[in-house]
Amino acid sequence: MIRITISNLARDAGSASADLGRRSLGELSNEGTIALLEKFRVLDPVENLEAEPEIVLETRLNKFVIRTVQQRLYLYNPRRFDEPALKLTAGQIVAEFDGTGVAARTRAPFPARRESSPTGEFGDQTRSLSPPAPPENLLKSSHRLALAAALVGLCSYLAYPAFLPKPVDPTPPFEAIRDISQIEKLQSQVAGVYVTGNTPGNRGIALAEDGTLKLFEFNADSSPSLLQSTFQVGQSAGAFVVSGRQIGGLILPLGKSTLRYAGETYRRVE
Amino acid sequence: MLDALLVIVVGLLAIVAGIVALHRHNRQEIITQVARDFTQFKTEFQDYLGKTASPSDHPAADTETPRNPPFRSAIEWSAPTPAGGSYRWEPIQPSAADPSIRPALRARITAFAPNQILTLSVADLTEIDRQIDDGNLETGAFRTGFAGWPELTIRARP
Repeated sequence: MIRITISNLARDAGSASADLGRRSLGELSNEGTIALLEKFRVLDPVENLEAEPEIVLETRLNKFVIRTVQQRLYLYNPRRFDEPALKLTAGQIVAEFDGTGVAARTRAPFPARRESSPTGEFGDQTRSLSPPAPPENLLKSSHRLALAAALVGLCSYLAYPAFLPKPVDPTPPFEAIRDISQIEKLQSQVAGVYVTGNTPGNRGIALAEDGTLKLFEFNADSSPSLLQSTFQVGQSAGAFVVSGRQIGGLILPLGKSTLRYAGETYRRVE
Repeated sequence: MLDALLVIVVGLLAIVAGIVALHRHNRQEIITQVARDFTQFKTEFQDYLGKTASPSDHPAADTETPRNPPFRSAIEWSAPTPAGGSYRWEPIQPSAADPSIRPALRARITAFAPNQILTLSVADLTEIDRQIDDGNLETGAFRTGFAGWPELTIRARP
């Protein structure tokens, strides 16, 4: 005996309406169930489309939902709606409950994996309502192996610079001073113009109290070439130093009127 | 599903690797060209120093308007370098304290305003140093100097 519940369907399954709601028909024999399903199968397509009726068949062990599309019956497992539906006849649906349907097939009605193709004895009858699931293995194992090797190779190519020895930055480590009052005091102390000489080819550093820095080089026939940047005061190896963006090294104040930078000594002129 | 994912991941990685490879190739081209230019300077300047008494006979190079060296050079001195900035040269004044030091010139790259962009990182400079000198920016003839710019000291052949 199969317990029947109908949804949006007349008791004889001959008509459907959204107003009918969900009702239980109690238990029916296999023959009674087949007759009901046959009537349900030939339901008016318009009513079927509007009301979306369904029949729930239930035993102690199994529960299936039956829907009809274009005079074909489709069986769904309500616990696995993501699985494709099975297109079965009324007799085959009833056979799902007593085990003969399963026995007649080589695979379960709701296989755990979608790798089997609907061929063999049930062939056409087990074609699903939803689009057939793509086979899981699109590639041959050799292709998959080649792709995995390519993946490893590409990752290695992209990652290998991280494993190369880091180039030694000639700039010593610099720790900026955070105390605003101390910064202002030190910037005021160091502010000025320093040069290595005043003939062409000599260089200079101009530090302003507002933190701007200019590196310049005297030319023979024109105004000095200029590189503008900003600077910070801080410490390196325990000494008070000046660091600037784009200047490639630290400026080391030596007393009040001398700077040491990039291997050269600069003397204050202003 | 996993196969499709594998294909997509490999495809995307291949695109990224292609872009990275192109970038690395371009960087390497720049590094190689700059290293080749410095090697060319060295050869030309050493030939020149072999023929002249002292480089200080010549005035210092004007860093804003690059002055061509006093010999025929294969380098276009007024053109930007492949890495930005400009090539410059200057004589190194002989040391009065140690007259045994051979006469020298310095070839370098500067990036003063308005062409203040020089795209050579420390790693790039180290690679150039490796190709033409000792691979250490703090020692040898090729170093970083004023403003962190690279410079090559070229002494006369002994």
